[in-house]
Amino acid sequence: MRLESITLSDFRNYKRSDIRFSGGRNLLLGKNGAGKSNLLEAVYVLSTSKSFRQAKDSKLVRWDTDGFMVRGVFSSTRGKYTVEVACGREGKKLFVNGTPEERVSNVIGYVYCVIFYFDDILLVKGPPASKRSFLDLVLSTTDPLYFDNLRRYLSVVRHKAKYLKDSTTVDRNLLLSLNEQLVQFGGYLVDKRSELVLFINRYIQEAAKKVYPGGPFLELKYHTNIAGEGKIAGGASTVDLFVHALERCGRQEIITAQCIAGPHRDDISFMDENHDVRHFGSIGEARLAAILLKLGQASFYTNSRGVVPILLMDDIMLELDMRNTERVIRLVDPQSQTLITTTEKSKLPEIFQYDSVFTIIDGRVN
Amino acid sequence: MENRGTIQHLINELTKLPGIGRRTAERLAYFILKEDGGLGKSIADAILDVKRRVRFCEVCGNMTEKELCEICEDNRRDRGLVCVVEEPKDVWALERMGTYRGLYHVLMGAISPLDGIGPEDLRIRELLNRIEKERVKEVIVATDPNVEGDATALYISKLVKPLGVPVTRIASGLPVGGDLEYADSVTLSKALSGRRPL
Repeated sequence: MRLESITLSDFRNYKRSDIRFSGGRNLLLGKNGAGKSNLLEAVYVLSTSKSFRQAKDSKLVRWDTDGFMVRGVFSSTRGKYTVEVACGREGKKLFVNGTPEERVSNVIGYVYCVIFYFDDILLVKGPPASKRSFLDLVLSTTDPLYFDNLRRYLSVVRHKAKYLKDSTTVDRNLLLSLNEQLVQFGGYLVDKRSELVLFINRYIQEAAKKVYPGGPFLELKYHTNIAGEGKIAGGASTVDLFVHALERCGRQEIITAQCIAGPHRDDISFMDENHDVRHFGSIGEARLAAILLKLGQASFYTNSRGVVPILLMDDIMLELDMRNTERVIRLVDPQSQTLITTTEKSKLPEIFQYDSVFTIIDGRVN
Repeated sequence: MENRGTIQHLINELTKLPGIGRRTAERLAYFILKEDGGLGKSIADAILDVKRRVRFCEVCGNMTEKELCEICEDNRRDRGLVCVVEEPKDVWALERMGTYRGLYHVLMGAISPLDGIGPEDLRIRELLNRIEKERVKEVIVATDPNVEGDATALYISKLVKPLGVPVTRIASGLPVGGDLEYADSVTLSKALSGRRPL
């Protein structure tokens, strides 16, 4: 899919801007603080209604104004359409083709984009919670049932934890009922997460064959404590594993008054020939792993939804050497539209051919 | 100043109602104050009347002005069928349908540890007593299709099944008469996965 043009009004440091993009590679040039990332953020808001920087809506509004508006014209196999997110005193509203939508969350499914930015390093070196939110984001945007199961699962986890904490004697039937719900909702999460990790890992292996003759041999692994040790063993169903894990942890759960078994404790890790990149990898290797993960996300969208997502790359070459930067650029799906920011052209390798250059100075685009 | 205290008292009492915030309570209180057609008194009388006369049926927990509600008293009803619901208003919803001929059992809520509501706070023991005393042939659980309602349904089934009485759960899916294109994607996905052969 393609972003044809975008209009920003009182968004971050943009007063009012209309920008038309090329279908291929768009280079956004500017000094620190000029507003390059803000432009990527605006595109991201049209995709998820939220900022990728975990910023509150009030932080997206230009200084001394009451609200912002972002409108994008997109084209895909569905044809041409506009998505608009407007935020004012009465809250946030979503318009698709000018028609208001009942809920802002309905925005999911119109615009697929993948953001590459500084904090991606957390997906490799960060805590399990950051990694779970990555899996949840990818799966929630492609599968509405996943989001529903996730919401219900987390709600049961909270109910169960509260129950274990508050009750002096445990009603076995109640615990069994809550566990049955955990298995029902959580089993779906485990299946989908393990499929996604499997898919991305396969993508990474193929990418390595293409541009990394001789390594590094990165491998993405999914860890869920319901499987006991390591990944899900072949043969046993997720439901069986989950039921056994709940039985196994039952006593400990009651003693510690915590929910132990289940996907709310899932984790993913990158292995480089039996070394966990989280602990042993260099910053460069971790960055590379994070970029591969995001490219895998893009490939997953293409595979599961039939859309080539827009790639938003925010100064990602930071910690990579020229050789690795070149490799990353060769891996980008040539069909995808890319918006890439940098402070100087010279930071990008020569093989990077761009279709349009935009110079950004203090929230204005030339 | 004394008047302010009186009206403030009314506002404070109104904010204790569900769904009524400070602003709405103020609006209601000033409206009642200004209105001079006797509305204030008739509301007060109606509230007193309800509190004095309406109570909960001793058998099923539904609202009634007698010892037993009219559904429990009705001999034409199928006494072997008990439909379990969360609130008395759910009985009304099912009765509006007009085709259900069994009895009801109102739990007065759903299991929700986060709100401090456990099985002992609901009328579950009364349900088990009923099943043991009366000849119940089937228990239909019609609690809300959310996490709390589902947990309650599972819990009830665990207690009732050992008594040899079958327990069923009402189905959920697409609304009848609704257009497919207007259904939200979660409902639609669930309806699809719960499809039946024709």
